Amino acid sequence: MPTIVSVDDSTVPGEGSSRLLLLVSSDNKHIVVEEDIMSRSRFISKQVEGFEATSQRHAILLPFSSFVLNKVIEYCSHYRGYYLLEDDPDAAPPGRSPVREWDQEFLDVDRNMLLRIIKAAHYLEIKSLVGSCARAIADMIRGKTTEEMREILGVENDFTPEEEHSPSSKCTG
Amino acid sequence: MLGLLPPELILDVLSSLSLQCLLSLSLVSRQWNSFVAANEETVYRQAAHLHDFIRSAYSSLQDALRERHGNPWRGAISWKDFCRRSVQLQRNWGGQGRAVARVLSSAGSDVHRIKVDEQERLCVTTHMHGGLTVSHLFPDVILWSLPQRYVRPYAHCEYGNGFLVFDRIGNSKEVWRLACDFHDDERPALCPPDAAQCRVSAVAAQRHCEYGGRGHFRPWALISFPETTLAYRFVYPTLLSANDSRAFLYDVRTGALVQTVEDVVRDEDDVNYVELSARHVFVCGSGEVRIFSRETGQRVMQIQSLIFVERVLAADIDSQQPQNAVVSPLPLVPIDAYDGAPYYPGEFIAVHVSSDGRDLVLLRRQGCVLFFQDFERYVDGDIESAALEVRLRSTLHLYLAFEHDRVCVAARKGLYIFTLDSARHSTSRAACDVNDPHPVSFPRISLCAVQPYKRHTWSPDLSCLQITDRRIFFTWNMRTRRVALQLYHGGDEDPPPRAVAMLQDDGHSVAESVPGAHGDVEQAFDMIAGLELNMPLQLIWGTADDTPVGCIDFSLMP
Repeated sequence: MPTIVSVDDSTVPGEGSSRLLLLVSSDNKHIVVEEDIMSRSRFISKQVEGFEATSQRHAILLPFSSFVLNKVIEYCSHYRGYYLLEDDPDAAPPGRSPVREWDQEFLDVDRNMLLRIIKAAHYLEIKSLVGSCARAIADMIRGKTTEEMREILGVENDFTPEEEHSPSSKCTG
Repeated sequence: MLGLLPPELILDVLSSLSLQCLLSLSLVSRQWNSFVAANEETVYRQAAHLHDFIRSAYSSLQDALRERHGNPWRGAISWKDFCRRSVQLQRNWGGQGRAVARVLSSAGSDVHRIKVDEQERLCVTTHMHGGLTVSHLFPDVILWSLPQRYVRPYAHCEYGNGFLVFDRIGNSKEVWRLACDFHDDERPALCPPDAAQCRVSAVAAQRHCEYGGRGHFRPWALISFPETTLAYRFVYPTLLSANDSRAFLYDVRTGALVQTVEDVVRDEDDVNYVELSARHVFVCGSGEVRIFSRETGQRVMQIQSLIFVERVLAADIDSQQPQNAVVSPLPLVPIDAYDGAPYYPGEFIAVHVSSDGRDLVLLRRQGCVLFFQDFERYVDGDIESAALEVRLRSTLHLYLAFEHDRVCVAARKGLYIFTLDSARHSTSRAACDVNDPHPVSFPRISLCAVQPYKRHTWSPDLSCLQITDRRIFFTWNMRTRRVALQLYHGGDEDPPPRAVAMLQDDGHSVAESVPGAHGDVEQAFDMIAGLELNMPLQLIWGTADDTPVGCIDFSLMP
C-alpha cells in the first residue's frame, strides 16, 4: 500500500528551515520529522537526494514498528547537528569507540528491543547507533563463561565430549 | 538470540569482545564455532585492533607484520596467529610465559650507554674507556665503530629515527645519521660537521666493510650550545639540553636553535634529568620537576618533591617468588598513606613521558615511583589527586625507562617492570572493560621483578636501561664489585673526599670516614643518604672491565 503523500514544504516555526519528512512505520503510523534530524541516516539521505533529483517528495516506508522508529528518532534528535566520528563511512568497527553515557541510558531496554533497534539502525544506515547497540549487546556476554553464554544466547551445547576437549580454537592459551 | 541478526551486525557485536571472550564464545555451540571460524580473519583483525596490537582497524596482515617485524611474528600466517603471538608476547612480559637473559658481548665489556633500534636491529653503545660501537642484534656482531680516542669516556648518547647524538668535551654535540639515509648535500648548512668528524668517518667506513655498510653512520652536524649544559635528551627531531638556568632546543634536521626555556629549576636546585614530548619540556631537579609548554615557553606545572600522595601501593617483595623464573609477577598491595612512620622518598632523579606525551613517570631516590596518567588534566588543578605512588622498598633507584606502556626501573635489588594497564591487552584475568573512566592514575597497574640469575647480585652502578616492545637492555655487571663512594664539599676547587664506602667482592663494605657506616653497602648508602649534609653528594662508581650489554628477551614464542 505505498501511499503517495505530498508533504508541505513550509518550514516549522522556530525550528530553522529544515524541511519535513513523512515516515511510515510497519504498523502504518505516519510520523512527521524534520529532514535534518534524520540526516544521520545514510538511507534517508539517499532518499532525500532522490526527492531532489525527481522534485517529488513522498512518504518513506520503513519495515519496523513506530515504537522502534520513535526510539531511533529520539536518538537522532539527541545528536542533531553533532558530528559523530563513528558515522564516518571509514570508521573502525565499534569495538573501541567511546561509550557515551547518554547512549547507555538510552539503550537500557530489554534484549528484544535492543535487537530491534540495531536492525532498524542497520536498515537506516546509522553507523553510530549500530555501534552503540552492538556494544550494549556485547556487554551482555562480556566476561561470561561459555556456560553462562549458552544461557544468555539460548543455545544448547551440541558438541560431542571429544570435540569439547580438543582445543581447536584456542587463541589465548 | 543473536542468530536473528545479519552476520555483519554480529561481527560488529564481536568487535568489542576480547580474545578470551571470543574463545569462550566459539565453544558455546557448533553454530557459534563455525561462525567464528567462517569469519576468522575479520574477527581476529578486529580483536587485534581492540587489544591495541594494530593501529588501524583495517590494516592488512602484511602491513601489521611489517610494523611488527622479527622474531615474535616471524611466520605468522593469519590474524588469529598474529593475535596468539601478540598475546604470548604480553604474557612473556607479565611473567606468565618465557623470558631469557642474554648477554651481548660484541660491544665489549665496558659499556656505559645503550641505544637500541629494533626495526634496524641495531644496538649503539658508548664506553667507559671511550669509543662508540654499533652492533647488530642477533646475531651479535660489530657493524661499525668510532675509536676510543675519538669519543670521550662515559659519553652520553641518544638515538632516534636514524639520528645518533653524542657529546664532545665542551659545549658541542655531534649528530650522526645512518649512512644510507641521506646525501651529503642534505646536511644542514647552519652547523655542518667539522673536519675531525669527516676524517674519523672515512676511517671508520673503511675499517668496517664486511657487512656492506649496514649500521654505518656518517656525520650530519656539529651543534654547539651557547652555554655549558648538563643533561640532554633527543626525541626526533628535537635535541634538548639544559643547565641549571636554561634549556635549549635544537632541530637536528636544520641544526637551528628553535627555543630557549628560562628558569628551568628553582634556585639552588640541580638539573638531574631532562625529557621532552611534542608539547612539553620536562626538567627534573632534585626538589622539583618543572614542566614547560613548548608552544609558549612558559612553565605550566611543577611537581614538588614534598608532594603528598594519597594513593600508595607497595611491592610485596617478601612474597614467594618462583625459584628459577627470570621474570615473575610481584603483587602490589595498597598501603595507608596516612599511617606509619614519616616517609621521605628522596629527591627526584628522573622523569619520563609516554611517547604520546600524556602520561608521566617520576623516579625518586629512595624506593618510590610516581605515576601521573593523562597529567595535562591537572595543569590547572591539584596534581596530587592524580598521582599514584608505588614503593618498591628497594633503596637507591638508579634508572628509569618508559616505552610501549611499560616502565622499567633499575634499583639496587634488581629490575622491575611495570605494565601500566595490565587489562589492556587482556593478559590478566581482570575483566576487560576498556572504557571504564577512572580518575586515578593507572588503576590496573601491575609489577614484575626480573632476576636474571640468582647468584648475581646487582651492582648498583647500572648506568643505562632501555626498553623496547620485546626486550630490556641494560648494562650488566657480571660480578659483584668494588664501589667507591665519595662525599665532597660543595664549592671547593679540589675537594678532599669526606667519606668513602667500599663494597668488597665478599659483599661487605668498609666505610672509612663516615662514622658508623659498616655492614653492607646498602646500609652505607642509607646512612649517607640519611645524613643531613649541607653539601652535594657525589657518587663515584668504580669501574671494571666486566660490563657487557645485558638483555632480557621476551620475544621467544613457544
